Amino acid sequence: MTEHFPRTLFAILVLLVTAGQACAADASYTDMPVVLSQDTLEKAPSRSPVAISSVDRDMIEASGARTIPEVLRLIPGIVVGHSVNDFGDKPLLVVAYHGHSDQFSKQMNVLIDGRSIYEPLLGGVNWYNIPIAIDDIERIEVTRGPNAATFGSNSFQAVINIITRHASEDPGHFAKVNVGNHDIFDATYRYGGNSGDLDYRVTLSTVNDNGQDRDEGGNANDDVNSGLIDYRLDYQINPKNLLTYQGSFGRTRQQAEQTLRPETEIKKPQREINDTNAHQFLRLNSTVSSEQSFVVKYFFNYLEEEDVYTTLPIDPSAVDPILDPFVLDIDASYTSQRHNLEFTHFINPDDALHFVWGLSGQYDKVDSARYLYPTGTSSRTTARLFGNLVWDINSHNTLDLGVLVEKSEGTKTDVSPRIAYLYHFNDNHTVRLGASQAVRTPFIFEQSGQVFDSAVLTALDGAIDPAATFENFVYVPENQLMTEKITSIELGYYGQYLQRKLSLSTRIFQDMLDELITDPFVPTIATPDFDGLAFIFDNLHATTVTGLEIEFDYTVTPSTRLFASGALLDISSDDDPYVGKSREYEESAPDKSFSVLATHDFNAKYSGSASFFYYDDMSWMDANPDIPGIRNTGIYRILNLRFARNFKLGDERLSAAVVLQNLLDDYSDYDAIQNTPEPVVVQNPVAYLELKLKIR
Amino acid sequence: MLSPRIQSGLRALPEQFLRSWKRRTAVFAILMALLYGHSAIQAEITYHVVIVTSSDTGYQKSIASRIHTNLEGAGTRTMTIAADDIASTSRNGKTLYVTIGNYATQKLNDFDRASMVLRISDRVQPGRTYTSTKADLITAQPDCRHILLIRSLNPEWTAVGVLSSVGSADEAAALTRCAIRYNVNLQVYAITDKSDLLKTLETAVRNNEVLLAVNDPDIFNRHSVKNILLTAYRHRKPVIGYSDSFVQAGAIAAVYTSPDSAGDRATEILSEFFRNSWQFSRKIYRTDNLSISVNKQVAASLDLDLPGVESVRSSITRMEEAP
Repeated sequence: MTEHFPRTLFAILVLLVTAGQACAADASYTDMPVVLSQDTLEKAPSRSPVAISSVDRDMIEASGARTIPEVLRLIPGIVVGHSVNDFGDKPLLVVAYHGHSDQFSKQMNVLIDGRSIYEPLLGGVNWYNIPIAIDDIERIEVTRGPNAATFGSNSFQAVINIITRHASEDPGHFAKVNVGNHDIFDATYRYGGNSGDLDYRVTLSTVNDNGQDRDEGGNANDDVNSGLIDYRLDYQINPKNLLTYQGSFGRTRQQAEQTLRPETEIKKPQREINDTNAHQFLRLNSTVSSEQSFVVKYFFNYLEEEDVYTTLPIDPSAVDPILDPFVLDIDASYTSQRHNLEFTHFINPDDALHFVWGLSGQYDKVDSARYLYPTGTSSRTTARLFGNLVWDINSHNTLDLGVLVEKSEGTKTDVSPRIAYLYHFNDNHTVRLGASQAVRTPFIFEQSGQVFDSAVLTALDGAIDPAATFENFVYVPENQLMTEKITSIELGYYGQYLQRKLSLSTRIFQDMLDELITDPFVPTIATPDFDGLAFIFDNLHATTVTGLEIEFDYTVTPSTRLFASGALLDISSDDDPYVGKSREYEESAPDKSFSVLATHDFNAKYSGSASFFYYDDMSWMDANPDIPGIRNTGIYRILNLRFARNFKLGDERLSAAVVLQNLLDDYSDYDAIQNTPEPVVVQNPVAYLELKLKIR
Repeated sequence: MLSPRIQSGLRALPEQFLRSWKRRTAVFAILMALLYGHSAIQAEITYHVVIVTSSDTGYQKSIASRIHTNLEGAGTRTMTIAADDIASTSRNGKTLYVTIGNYATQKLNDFDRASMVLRISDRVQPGRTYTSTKADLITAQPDCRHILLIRSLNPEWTAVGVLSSVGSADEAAALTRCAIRYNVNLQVYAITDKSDLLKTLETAVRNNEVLLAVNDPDIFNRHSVKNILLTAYRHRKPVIGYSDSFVQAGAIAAVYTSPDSAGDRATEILSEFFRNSWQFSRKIYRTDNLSISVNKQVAASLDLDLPGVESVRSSITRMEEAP
């Protein structure tokens, strides 16, 4: 029996293959699977109720970018900074839109395939350990302006939606290696295949570099080493139902060092911080008919940060000269989990009406002995109801209405409406008038975070003095914290010229932000061993952002493309209960910025690209030098070049590229030495060789 | 209506008859015989038309259902079976088969090479034999209609790419002739090796405004369609399909023969066949009607403002009728 098994199996396989071939002969009688479902379709800029920019696969490849923030620089109004973290925690790569951001960039929502990945505890996204390999990205859509009705809560100033490629798009083996200065060593291996109606892809990747250099020379202690495995399976249950399963597991090791605040009492040591992240994502796309479809998705995000250290000796002699220096043992580790279940229903009763509604529930849980003293844990449940109605009144007029109703534990019910009117002069020219509101729910640390340090002090003779203890509440929670609010109005234009080879998108806007959350160092309840001063989050500020953005995309020839964008911004704030804060908001974004990317395929073998970026000076909210008139980044320009050669070796395709970055002057895009405009670290020339091999 | 007297008599008859157990036994025996006889008679029933479907797709089921309904309505005994069940059908009597799709035709051929059959296919199949009792109904639209569809959707689209393998070379050549006639610059990209599909597809969508899909299962099938539609969409180029199902999948439009039209046409041919002493008058029949399907969501996403279906239909008809 056993010896016949291979032949039997072979016979069955032959039969299956033969039967498949016979059936395949009736192409037009086949039920094709729904590929471009409503959930996966990109909104055309001329029909979008808000301004949308898109960075596609070609632009990502042409840019030679190693990280996602590098390509986001192409979006008008977006600024990227490399924080070395002046609080002595891990360095972060920060992406912000229209200022107001510290290293956690809380006012922006980031999603991967519709899965929100901002961190529940502190907000923001650690772009160094984002669970996706850049080679698996199909496109990145950036919604400029609030759009909570479509993307959910915290879609406040902007939304970055990263869309990965369908598993069937990358069959075979793919390998990529980057090697360059700054100890750059990145490697990616991907395998994609299919079995019947199942398409799958597995990607292994590692990204490594030694970070930035100090301004005075030498390498800063900000090395990053990350490893990731991620996978995607697309199973076509039948022509109308697609089940997608994605998952990832990644680890990131980052160096951290307190470099900037010599006067800070608690000095953190040079150390390594380890992050582990994982996710599971299930999505069912079901097309009921051409009039309606629905999507059900569930995801689970997990993040664990391991950061245990002993501070450098703290000298209390200024308070009491007889006390010994002491240290604090700190466990700043935390874990966070997010469960999210969402149902979305798309209904198109006729050609002129499109309606989307949905429900979602989210559960966030964070465990942290340090950030959530004394309980060590906090959780929050959020429920959302959303809807969107698009009415094409006629060929010239479109009305787009949206709303999100959200209720989170600890906050009142918030309603985020949106309305847009679009007038289409013809197929190529559209004017958009829009108004929208959105809220940002405080993150768990803002809402219920409390940090407390304590130590038993000794006197100079080594004797324990029971009366001399060190107790310090670093953060104290504010129970009545409200959501931040934004009201945005805009007038936009989208036009296409030269047989649609050139598109131009521009808008003028005014965003009014209110109830902005900051953490002033203020008096609270004192104890015998605590001076009563602590950071307390509060809704204290309001700002107005006014500006103009422009973006154009010109396909000069099938082999030449020019993409350019620019932004003019003015942030004002006249509400200033704490000295300097209004100025910090006003200086938190460059007044002017623009970018250009030009790509050209010389022939089938050679291609090249050049990108240029210009930014006026600015200061991030947590790195303002507190010197009126001085913004610590200074004006900076970036020039990057990429030159590639393609080889065809039978079925294999090999490409080799040289990528050169920061070819102009060195610049600093984040920190400065405290109270000075002098940079701590600089971005200097980067060069690496990129090798790609594709075997089908 | 029976008269009251007869009704009363009928009611009394069983009562009288069943008084004796012998009679009851006799009744039981007669009932059993009737039941057996009914089964035997059932097995001997000859269906005049047997519709054989290749697979369980919506299109094939709809054609079969339409023919079935039409024929039953006209008093013709009809049954529908799957191709794999063909061996279980009776060969007694005079039976005309209608096969839908090539797999059904192949299975029928294996089962009974001499059977009378109307073979419904989406295109002309090489190597077919034709007799007065074997004919084809081709549901594919005339090649030029696909070009006219493109012209009707957007007259500014002039650069059209077509992927073609050996199996669709004739169709590609016909499309090229139509394209010349209607001032469309049609570029045919030959796929000689399936592994070159994606690369050739990239070239085709990059260098053209529209990708026109041809009815070629070596290129366009339920597995490859994902990559084709996703790649074209990534380049923001529309795909013109050849079936409603293709449009539901993500092509922006298609001109095709609806299953109802195909079913009605098949019914007409069968009626003529019966009238003509069980003989076909032609080897190959074709459908006349055209249906148009448009995917408004994909079109909107590609920022294409397409005319309505009726407008497209009348435009195609007008161009076809033009001298």
